[in-house]
Amino acid sequence: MTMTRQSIKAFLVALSLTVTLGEWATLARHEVQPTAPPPPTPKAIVRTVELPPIPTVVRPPDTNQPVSFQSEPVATLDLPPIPELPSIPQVSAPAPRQQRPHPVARTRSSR
Amino acid sequence: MNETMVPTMNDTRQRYHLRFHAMNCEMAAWVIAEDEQAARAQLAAVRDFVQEVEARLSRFNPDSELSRLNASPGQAVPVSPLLWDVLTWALDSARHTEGLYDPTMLSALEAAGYDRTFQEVTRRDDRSERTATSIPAGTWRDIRLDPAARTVTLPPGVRLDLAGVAKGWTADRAADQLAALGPCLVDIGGDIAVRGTPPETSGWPVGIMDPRDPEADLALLMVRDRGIATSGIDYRRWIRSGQTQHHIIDPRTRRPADTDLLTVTVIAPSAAQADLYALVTLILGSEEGWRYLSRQPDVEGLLMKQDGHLLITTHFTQYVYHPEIERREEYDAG
Repeated sequence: MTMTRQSIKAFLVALSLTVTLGEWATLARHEVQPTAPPPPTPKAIVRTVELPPIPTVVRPPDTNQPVSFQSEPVATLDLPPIPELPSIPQVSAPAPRQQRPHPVARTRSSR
Repeated sequence: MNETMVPTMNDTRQRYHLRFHAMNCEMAAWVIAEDEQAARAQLAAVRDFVQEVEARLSRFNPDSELSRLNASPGQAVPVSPLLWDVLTWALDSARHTEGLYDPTMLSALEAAGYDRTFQEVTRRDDRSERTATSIPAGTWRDIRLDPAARTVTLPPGVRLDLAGVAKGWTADRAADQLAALGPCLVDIGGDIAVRGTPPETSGWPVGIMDPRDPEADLALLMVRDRGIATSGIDYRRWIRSGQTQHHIIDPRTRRPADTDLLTVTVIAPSAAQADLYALVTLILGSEEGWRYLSRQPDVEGLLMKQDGHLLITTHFTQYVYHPEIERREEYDAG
């Protein structure tokens, strides 16, 4: 029996389709494997919380504004002239501090 | 002999001193003199004199002159000029203090446990019970002196202990010997006699030992022509039958004095007087003792209580060293 070129091509196509479908079927079996049920979730207790009012945000002053160095005019004062300091009188150097004499003897109860 | 020579400024004299041990105490003598040989000879004479005093007056030596006198009650015993002089001073002191100093306290002192040298007293474990009740009351008034024959007659049962006044008396006599050479100081176990002043100073520097810290001084004194003495219960004390005893006997109770004072330092015209007043003040205690001391003419004192408080008499500070005072006196002298 001889096969034509066309029939061989058709056979190969059919074969590859069969293999592909088989792999899909295997993957599908893995995906549907049952998993452990999720833990029961506790029932949430609904409470009403009164939140404080949101404070009003005041916009800070724009610090990027240029500063003006212009000031009010200050009245000038007539200050008396600084008197010259009198000359410091010359004093002789203090006498050197006497060294405390070492006791020649020490009185004590009899020993 | 331990001697040193220290040159002094603007003065051809030099300072010599001698240290030695006697009367179970440390002694020292200083003199400022020109003649080295004379100074050495006189210092040696002072040492010999102190040793003679000890040999004659020791109550621990059974062969001493005092011990022989104590062993011969009721007899007129001839005594040496030295014992005569000390005993005369002791009896004068008893009269002057109305018996607050009493030279007949030997039996009471032995009853308290001080019946041998202090080193032996502190070594032994004495649990024996002895009281002074059987000892005759103070009978110093009954001691008979015959100046012409220089004899002493002790009443039966009376024995003498002259240690309370002998050191100060000895310091005075030794200083009198040295003073012929120049300014001098004699230290007889803490009782000090001073004659004259070292050159360029207002006096001899004398420390008052702090009884709580023997390395420190309570004050530094500058003294000339005076005696300085300290009495105290800070050192010669011992335990007997579980109770602390000391060597200062109160003649009124014939027991170790019940005093709130630890030490008393007195500056007086002589070391013998300073010795006497320090002893009596210690016996009397801080309040009465301070009043007693303040009544004595030309006498000043520093009292240390057992709680550490210090009391001084009105003019005591005139003797305390002060640099400003020293300078002023130099200017006055110049």
